[in-house]
Amino acid sequence: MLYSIDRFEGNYAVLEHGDAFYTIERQELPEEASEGDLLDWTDEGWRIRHEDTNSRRQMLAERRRRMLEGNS
Amino acid sequence: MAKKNKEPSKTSGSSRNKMIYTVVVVILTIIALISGRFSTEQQEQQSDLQIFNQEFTVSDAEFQVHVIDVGQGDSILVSADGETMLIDAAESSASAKIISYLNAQNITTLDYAVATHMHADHIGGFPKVLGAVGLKNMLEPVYQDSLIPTTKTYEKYLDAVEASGAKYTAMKTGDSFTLGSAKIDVLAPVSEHASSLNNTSLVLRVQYDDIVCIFTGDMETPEEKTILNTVDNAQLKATFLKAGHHGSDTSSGEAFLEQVRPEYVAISCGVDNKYGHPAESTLEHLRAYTDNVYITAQQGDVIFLYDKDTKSAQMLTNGKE
Repeated sequence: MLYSIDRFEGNYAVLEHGDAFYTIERQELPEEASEGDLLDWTDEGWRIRHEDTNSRRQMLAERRRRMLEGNS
Repeated sequence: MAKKNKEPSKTSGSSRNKMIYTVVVVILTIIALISGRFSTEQQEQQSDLQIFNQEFTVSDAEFQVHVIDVGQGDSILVSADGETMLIDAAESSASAKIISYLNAQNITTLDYAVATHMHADHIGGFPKVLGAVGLKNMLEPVYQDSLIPTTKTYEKYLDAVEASGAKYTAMKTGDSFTLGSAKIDVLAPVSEHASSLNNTSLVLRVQYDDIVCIFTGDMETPEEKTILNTVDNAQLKATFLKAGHHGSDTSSGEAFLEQVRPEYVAISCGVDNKYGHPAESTLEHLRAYTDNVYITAQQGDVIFLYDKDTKSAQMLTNGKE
């Protein structure tokens, strides 16, 4: 299961993993990490899963768009 | 693997004795009035508002703002002439507290719910809350697809909004709606092009009779500057301000506060939170305008009440449990 960066709070990053949340030092993450990035943990540290991030974001964006259009 | 510290969750479950508090408030109010505590001179200094600071829980006031003590997060109940709006629903772990609070107010259906922005400490409680009470309208800000969260929390939020059957609307500057006789204007975001979720926060200006309340979500100084550049600054003067981003030093900038000049301020944050909220520098900025700065981590639920017949306001807390 992948981790998702919910948000940054100053020097910390709040990660969602399943139903749990974890707070880690932001500097542990790759410099280019952004809110919403999906991550996994490897022998080399945190790795951003760009394709997984983009596909999930696209799926949720499309769903939101449909819901909003359904109200118009 | 990196060390991970699980976020503490904190809910409050004990019930309140509404009747006792109400009697206490009435007695203290009568004593204060008889003793002449609120002289004409003092009333003028306080912009014709009467101020009572004491323990309290529920009131029949026509306009109420309840900044619910949800730990590290936001959840604010606004009631105007009996119509209700819940701004944010904190983390999932706070949902029991929010539901209990709504039940205590005899709320079975919310007229509006507002998700100021899509972080888990603002939307995490919505699935359970919307499973417990009905909802007519769900409001959120406009934001670009590149900021869409990938969390399960966000997906569950969409699930809950869809299941509620509520009218679902994304809003921006210039939009408005009413809650009872209160007029609510959206001050921000001005467009969907904000660069971070905090700065997509749906910022609301609520005008009820002679008072104005501003609710800021996690707005930071870039969004504050956008508001200053796009909104008639005379409209920003406010009686009550929910300070942005849990009192962080990212928010409540001096230029914004100079226009708002709040008389009452509420900050919602958790006890001993990791993030240092509220920042001491922010408290100093706020206290340059008012001594009436209330922090849920210290004072529990913070309640602002206004009665338009007497033009009187009260800022109350129920104390920490």
